[in-house]
Amino acid sequence: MDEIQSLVKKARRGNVNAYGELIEHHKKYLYRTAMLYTKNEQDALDVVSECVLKGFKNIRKLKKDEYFKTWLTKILLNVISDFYKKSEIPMTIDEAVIVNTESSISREECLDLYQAIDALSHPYKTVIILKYFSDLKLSEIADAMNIPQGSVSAYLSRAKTELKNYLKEDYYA
Amino acid sequence: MRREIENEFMEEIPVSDRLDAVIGTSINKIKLQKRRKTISNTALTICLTIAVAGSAFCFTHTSFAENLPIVGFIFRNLQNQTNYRGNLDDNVTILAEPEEAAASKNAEDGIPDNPYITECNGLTISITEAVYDRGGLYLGIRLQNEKTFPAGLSGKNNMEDYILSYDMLNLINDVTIKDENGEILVKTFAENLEGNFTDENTFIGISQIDLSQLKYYPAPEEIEAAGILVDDYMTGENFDDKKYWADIKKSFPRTGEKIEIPDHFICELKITGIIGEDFLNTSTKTITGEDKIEVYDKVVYEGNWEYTLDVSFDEKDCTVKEVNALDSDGYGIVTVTKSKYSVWVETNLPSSDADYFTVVCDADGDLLEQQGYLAETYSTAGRDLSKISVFVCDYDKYMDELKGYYYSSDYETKKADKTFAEYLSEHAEYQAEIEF
Repeated sequence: MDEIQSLVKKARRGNVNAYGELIEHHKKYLYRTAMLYTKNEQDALDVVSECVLKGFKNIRKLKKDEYFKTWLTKILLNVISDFYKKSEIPMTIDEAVIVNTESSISREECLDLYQAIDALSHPYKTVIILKYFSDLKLSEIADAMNIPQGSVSAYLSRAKTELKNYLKEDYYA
Repeated sequence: MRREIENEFMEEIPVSDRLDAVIGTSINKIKLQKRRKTISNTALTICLTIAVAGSAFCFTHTSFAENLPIVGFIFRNLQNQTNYRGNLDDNVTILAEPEEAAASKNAEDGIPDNPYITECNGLTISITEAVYDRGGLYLGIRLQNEKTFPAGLSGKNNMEDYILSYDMLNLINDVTIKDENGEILVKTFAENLEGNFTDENTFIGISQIDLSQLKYYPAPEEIEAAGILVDDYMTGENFDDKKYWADIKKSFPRTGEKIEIPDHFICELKITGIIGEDFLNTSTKTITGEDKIEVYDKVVYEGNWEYTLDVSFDEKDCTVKEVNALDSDGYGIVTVTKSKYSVWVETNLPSSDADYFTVVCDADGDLLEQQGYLAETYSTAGRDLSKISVFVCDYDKYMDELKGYYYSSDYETKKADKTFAEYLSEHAEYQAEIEF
């Protein structure tokens, strides 16, 4: 059995150390995804903390070891959703998440893309983030969002169409 | 969208330097909850006894004990209250006298010129004593706060259903073990600080650094720095663990290699935070939908407290038995080591088809408890170790079935016919008996 699946298996049986190692592997991904929504360091940390706690509480419900990341993403999205329901803050992405400037991508390009994604309505925004930022497959996105895979494809298609209205052509292949 | 741009966008988002502390606190909270749940069955009888005999002591204190005298040193005060049991004070090395460690209580005294006493942001952390038995390095630690600690930090004094015999603070720390030439052998960590508040400004506790069977694994940051990113292995139908670990081993050939700790080594301890829960103040957190829970507020002390300990080991209290209870494939129990305060077992087990759990019983056939939350050492204090039984059980079978025999309320009755060791001997995958 490979190392990660072994950790997931142990975590499912209640092994906190194994769960902690898995979280260690995914911590930056969780934080950055949370930051995409919250734009605030403390809120993102709160979301990650809640996700970690809730994840362990529900880990026995994980059906397939190999889908740990997808399953964790699903929990993260639920926590984020609850966070916004509670705070009644609109989900927006702005400059707060873009701090580094030593990249081949210009700050303006970053901001353009974030603002374009930000303008999308909830399901479109989430499929874009999960597909292009979290690098999940369509089946994993479907699982994370609790929707049929066909809906994910449809949302993605519509989301990209909407993005084209905001972004320059050279963002696309 | 172009893939390289997408990935860069994600990488553009800076990661908070508080992320590790937040995750550490969450994991620690899970461990504490799990620990409470686990020991609630076994501790029930003990708690009931205490409740009858000393309910006033256990349940009615709502504030810190006022200026409890610290007679002697930390080990002497706490060694039979925490998970780190045994007569730790027998061979203790005193690093800071109690009077020195307490000096910062009066500002005009200043901080003593002692490398084991460090002040940062009004919190003085003193490593007052240490003892090493090859299994673990035990540290007596005193926290002296210029301001008063919030009263709610003490679960013992504020929670009626608190069943631990000590209060616990989470140490955010890094430990680097070096040989005497300064070469890094391994990076590890010190366990939670378990102890008591002795007054409004002072906490004394014991922590352990498990050095029993360390193996080399690169830190996640090192793995990422080598360009090995978990997400890169998640793009296929399944996560490609084999390739992931093969790449790690290619970049870090020592991965999984056993680390021998020499008799003389240097231990560098860097504490960057102390985190506790305020049991008197809660916040409401949303879990799912309309479900909300009350969670305890966190109390965080951030700073930088660094120490260097020069550690030497005397072999006389440590016995290694070559057991080699192995099957035809070479799997089983390799060695059992008994040191002054603990026992630990080196196993060689197949990694492909099952998970295992190692259980150690004393000469009476009773279970030895693991030290701390993460340690692979078993506490031996107060036990008859003339004979030790070691069992390697199937993980699922042990957790779901076997351990229930020992933790059942009628174990003492059942034990007359069959001890836990005798019971396990009928079910274990590998077993050995060792006489010391």
